[in-house]
Amino acid sequence: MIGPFSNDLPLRIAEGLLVNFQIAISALIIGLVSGGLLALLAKFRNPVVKWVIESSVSILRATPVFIAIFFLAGVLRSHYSALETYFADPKIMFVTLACLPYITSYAYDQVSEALVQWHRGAHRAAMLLIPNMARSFQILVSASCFGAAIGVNEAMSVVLSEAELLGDSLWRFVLYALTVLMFFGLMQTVVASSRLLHRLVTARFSDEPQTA
Amino acid sequence: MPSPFLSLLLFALMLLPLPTAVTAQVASSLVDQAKSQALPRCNDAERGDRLFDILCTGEIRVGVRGGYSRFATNRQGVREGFEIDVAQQIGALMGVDVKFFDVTPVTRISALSDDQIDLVIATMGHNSTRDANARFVRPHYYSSQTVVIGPKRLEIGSWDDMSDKTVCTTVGNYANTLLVPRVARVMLFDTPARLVSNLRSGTCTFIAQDDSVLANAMADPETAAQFERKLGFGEIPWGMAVSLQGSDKLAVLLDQLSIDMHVEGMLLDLARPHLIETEYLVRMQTLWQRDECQQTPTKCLSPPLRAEITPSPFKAFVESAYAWAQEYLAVFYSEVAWDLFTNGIQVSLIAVAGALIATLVLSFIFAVLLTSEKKVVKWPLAVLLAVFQSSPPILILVMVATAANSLFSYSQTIALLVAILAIALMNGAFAGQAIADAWRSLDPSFGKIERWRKAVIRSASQIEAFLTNATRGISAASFVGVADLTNALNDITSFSRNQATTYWILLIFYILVVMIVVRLCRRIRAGIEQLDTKG
Repeated sequence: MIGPFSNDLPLRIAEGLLVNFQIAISALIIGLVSGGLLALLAKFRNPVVKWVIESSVSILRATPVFIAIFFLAGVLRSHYSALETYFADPKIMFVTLACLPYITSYAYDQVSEALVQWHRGAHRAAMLLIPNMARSFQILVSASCFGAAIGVNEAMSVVLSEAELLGDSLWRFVLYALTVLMFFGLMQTVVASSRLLHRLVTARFSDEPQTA
Repeated sequence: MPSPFLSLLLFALMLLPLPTAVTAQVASSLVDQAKSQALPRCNDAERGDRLFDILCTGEIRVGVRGGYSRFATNRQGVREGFEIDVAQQIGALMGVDVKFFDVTPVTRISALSDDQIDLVIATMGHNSTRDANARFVRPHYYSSQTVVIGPKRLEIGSWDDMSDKTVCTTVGNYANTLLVPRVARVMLFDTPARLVSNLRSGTCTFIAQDDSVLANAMADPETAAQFERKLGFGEIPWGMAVSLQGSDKLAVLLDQLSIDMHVEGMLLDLARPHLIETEYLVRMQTLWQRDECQQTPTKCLSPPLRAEITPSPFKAFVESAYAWAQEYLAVFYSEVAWDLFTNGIQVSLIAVAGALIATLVLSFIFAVLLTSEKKVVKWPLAVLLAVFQSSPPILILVMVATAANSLFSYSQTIALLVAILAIALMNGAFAGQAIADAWRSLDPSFGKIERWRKAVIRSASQIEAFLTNATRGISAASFVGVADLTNALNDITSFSRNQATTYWILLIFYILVVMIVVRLCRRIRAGIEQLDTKG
């Protein structure tokens, strides 16, 4: 291993990244389903339903992920032992749930916009949902790193504990720089993949001509 | 000789006041019995009952009012009034001296429980709520009621005649709960004296007040010539009282003395010289002279006034709200918790304001540099911004904090500035890029200032989005040790019983702050866009 880093650091970071991806994927699926359902419900012309959904979404939109993590970890702390029966690590579940307000509100906005475009016949514009959701996936991976604050063993948590071991040496900056590069590479891969997918999907659709 | 006849006559005469003699005997025998029980204890430090203390010291300490006309006044050390005479009478019956102490309606019960006095005779109405604080001597020694006073020339036969009348009364009077439903309206005054003066001046046609309070005013010949008592209601018995602790024997003796004083008309005799209302005392004398009352006094005792007002549903709501507050807000009862909480709110608000300003400033700086014609500036910055955009916020926070701690010694201010800078760098990178993109999309033929103005307007939605994001992101400042609300509530939770409250407060606080920022940004954005439309 280069420098004074622990020998198993790459492996632990890789295991941590899997946790980050587990959180991000779970949150993305649940958020997309719930946000999508809300977007469909909001299309009903009932003003009460619309008002309830929009008010709820505005609250979800305003909820910071970091605070939601603290909130869930604090409120559910007394049920921790019971939750261990159902989840291998309930803290991972707390972080996933904490990401839901953000991703649900984001998915609601994006699906609503995609539906509008689709009904207008602008199918290609509607397909922008794919890169938009990929961007949210990037944010979810970043947000899952807040799990370090409550002791979730994800990638940032591994990096921070390694940095602690390095003390005040300049190697800490090297470690951080490598972590930045790692995330940069991962995020760019996600962006590139989503663009490719978007291109493939868009190629199968064409916009309907606008009627006068 | 007439001796058998005389004997019979004497016997018959003895029979006539028999009840009085019997009760007097009971009371005096109780006093004698108590004296014989007290004697062996007089040298003890703890005698077991205040009655023994009184008999051993030869003195009873009585709490009385100092300025209640006709009942208890204290003018330059000379005490006068019905209650003063009652206390003197009790002292005489017990064979002890009376030492008076001034009490007020506020202090009269606490003086008993603090052992400053043995007995209180101080115009104290006996209501059910006071039973929890003092042992009332029964039968009661007096009773007052609220009376409606009005002009003699107006005939008032019943409450029906009052249904369209205005009555003046004093605020905070329990009897008003009975009066209000029976009259058209009430006019409120602060003191009984003001009531009487307004009655005399004609401002009030009717006044309602306790008859013991109005006794003095109604004794005035001029007032008595014009006004009279119309109706009475809300009778409240007045009770002497002793302490709930260590006064059991004293209370039993005083109960018996009170019966004696009614039966023998002592209270009536004591009341008359003071020209106070004696209707109750006459009624009580008649009652207590009955054999059944003397044999079984409990049958004839009048109950205390029920002071509890029938509660409304709102009371249950307030009580449950109070119970909720006691349960969940008790975390802030300690000074240390409150200080942490208020300081946390201040720091969080400073952090939010700082993050917004720094994000805005950095976004413009980044935009200017990104649109620079110097590639040496433009390309490295583009890479740096890509790094900020791809890195998790927590990593940027920790990196900036580590760098700052290498350069400066750690302090709260440094931690706060680090958090603001880190959040602003990330969000400013996105917003700056959006402004730069908008600037590039505009026709270069616009003037320099006009092009920038239009670029800001075109990218307003992105600027708004990242300002909101900065507000959400700054909540993570606690991760680098900023003493914001998250840290403060976490600290409070560590020593609180109810932990959920603190987390709810934290969540609600940040949601509200973000919502306010969103609303503010939208308003500013709408204003800017409107300006552009007009331009």
